[in-house]
Amino acid sequence: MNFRRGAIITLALLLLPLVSSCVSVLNPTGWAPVAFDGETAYVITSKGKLSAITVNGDSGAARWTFPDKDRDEDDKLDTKAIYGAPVIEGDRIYLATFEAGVFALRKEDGRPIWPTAGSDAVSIDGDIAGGVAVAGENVYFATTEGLLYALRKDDGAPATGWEKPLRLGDGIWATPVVHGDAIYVATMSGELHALSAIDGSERWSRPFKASGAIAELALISDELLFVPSINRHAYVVRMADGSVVADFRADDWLWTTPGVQGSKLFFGDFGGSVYGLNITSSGVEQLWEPASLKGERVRSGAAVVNGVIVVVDRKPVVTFIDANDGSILNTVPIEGAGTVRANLVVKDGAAYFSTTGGKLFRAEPASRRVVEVQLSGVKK
Amino acid sequence: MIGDIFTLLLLNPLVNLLVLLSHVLWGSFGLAIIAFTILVRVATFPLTLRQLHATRAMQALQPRVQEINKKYSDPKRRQEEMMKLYREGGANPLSCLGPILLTFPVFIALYSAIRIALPNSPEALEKLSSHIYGWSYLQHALPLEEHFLGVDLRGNGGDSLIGYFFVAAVAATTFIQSKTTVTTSTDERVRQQQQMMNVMMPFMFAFFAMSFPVGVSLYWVVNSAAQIGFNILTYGFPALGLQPVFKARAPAAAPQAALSDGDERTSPTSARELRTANGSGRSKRQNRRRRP
Repeated sequence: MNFRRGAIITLALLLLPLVSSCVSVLNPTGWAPVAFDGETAYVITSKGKLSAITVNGDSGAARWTFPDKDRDEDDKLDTKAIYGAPVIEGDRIYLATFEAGVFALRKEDGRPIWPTAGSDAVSIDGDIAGGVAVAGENVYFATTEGLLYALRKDDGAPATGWEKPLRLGDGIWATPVVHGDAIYVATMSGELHALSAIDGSERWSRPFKASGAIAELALISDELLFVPSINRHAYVVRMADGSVVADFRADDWLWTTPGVQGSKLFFGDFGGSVYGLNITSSGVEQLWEPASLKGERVRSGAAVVNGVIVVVDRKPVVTFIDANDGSILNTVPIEGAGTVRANLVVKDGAAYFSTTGGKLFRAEPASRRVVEVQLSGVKK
Repeated sequence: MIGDIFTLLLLNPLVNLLVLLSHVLWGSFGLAIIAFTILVRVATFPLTLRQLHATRAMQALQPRVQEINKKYSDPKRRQEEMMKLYREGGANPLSCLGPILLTFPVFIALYSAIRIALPNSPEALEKLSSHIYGWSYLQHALPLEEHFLGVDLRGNGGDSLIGYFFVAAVAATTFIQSKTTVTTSTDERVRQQQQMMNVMMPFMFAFFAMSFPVGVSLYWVVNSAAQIGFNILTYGFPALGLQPVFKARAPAAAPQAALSDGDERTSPTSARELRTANGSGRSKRQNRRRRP
């Protein structure tokens, strides 16, 4: 290697991070949807932090934030991000974080019931890119290393029959779905498993196999699951036996949950198309030509309120669509609030969503307007 | 704008090629990087061969370059004579840089492609969708397996024990590559500088490899190994008694005319003599003895 060549290579290596910064790579931010418990909204107010907000009309006051930057015992908690909605049950909140594991928090003050500082938390292999599912006496969650865990709700120890996690595939990103005594788990290698919530035994003769990775999973009725694949397919799968009711091909990646109205499903894809499907005995029929959101990705799950679909793309722009014919009723761009990847949640005739900037919005289908809920007292 | 062109013309094709190779090669992203590197080396083989010829020609002219430097104190005149010498000798000083200049965009794109194709977060996978072409075959391959030989290709070289192995391999292959490369200058001072660089470079690249993804180090190691093989095929490796397989084109027989005032000067050196000169580090004084 001659001098000139060496000097040029060295210079290029020094410039490499600068040049390649043109192509940004995204670190975990989180996209947990809002969860409501009466007038309290549990909102991700900054990266990896959950706040309890008492909502009163267009304003909201934070009661607590977890982890709390003012508490020494929380200093070591590096949650990184939160992707799954917190599950509220009784006086507790169960919360999965990307890197710091699962917590049971007291609803009243947001302090951990388990694991507590100094206690032996269960060792978790991988990160948690979904949320928790709670059923019976257990809390279930899965990791990016393809492992399914079950912990006891009362103390966070491994549940009986689940002393060792169950290995299911290359990676699990979707939040497991619990229905009855079965737990449904989708993998990034494209498999959907139905397992006994008691001991993890397989319920189906073989797992359902999609043509691409499954990063999201949603319960759409007492019998059916919505299984979107990043390989552009949306499957409707029967929970009883894993048979496919419908296989719909979208124009782009699907990584979302649908808004459900009876037998009708509404969801967006990464190409900015919004679909309306009707599940029939013979499969699905498309209700109308896809509505276009000008090519912006839709990760956020849609909501349907009184015949109006509310969809938010990543820009973010809130779009109100008529569920009957797919026509766009109104679009409301939101400035300076970050992007939106979190699913919409319906409460009192409105759809709520949070942004990566830690802001809370309410989309009102009746008036086709969007209101920011002004938050106060949040510890960032 | 430049970022968009870079993404459209280089980054996106590279990301998709890596995903495709990974899918073909049993889902292994590590094998995809190796295959990609070999493909690039094969595709740029004619360019590399041209660089070899250019290096040979430059090397042949070095004694005359020294004489021009001594003879002309006026920089402008010296530059004119140099250009004349290069033109008549069939050498282009910039032609040696061709493969390097080609390597860098590829290297930078690969650095970005590895970070994009092996997402470390759900957001990063979401963003990958904007880089992947709409072919079902490619989308079926996602997400990619990030482990290779027991190491996470996304992780930095300094993050794990196996990562350090790759750091060491970067240093070793860089060192061997420098030992098998022809040195163009016959100036003792320049040669000493080059020898120092040969020692410094492996340490420097090892330092960079500590903070780069292991996938990039894998590319570097395979690329260097290919270059070492090519160097040995073209220059031979006297220390091991290996003779070159490809013969370099002899430089054009014109440098005499470069010194326009009619001074007697060195005749064009044959390729065989060049190899000897390069191998033993012959000095200016030794070169002068061979003048007619």
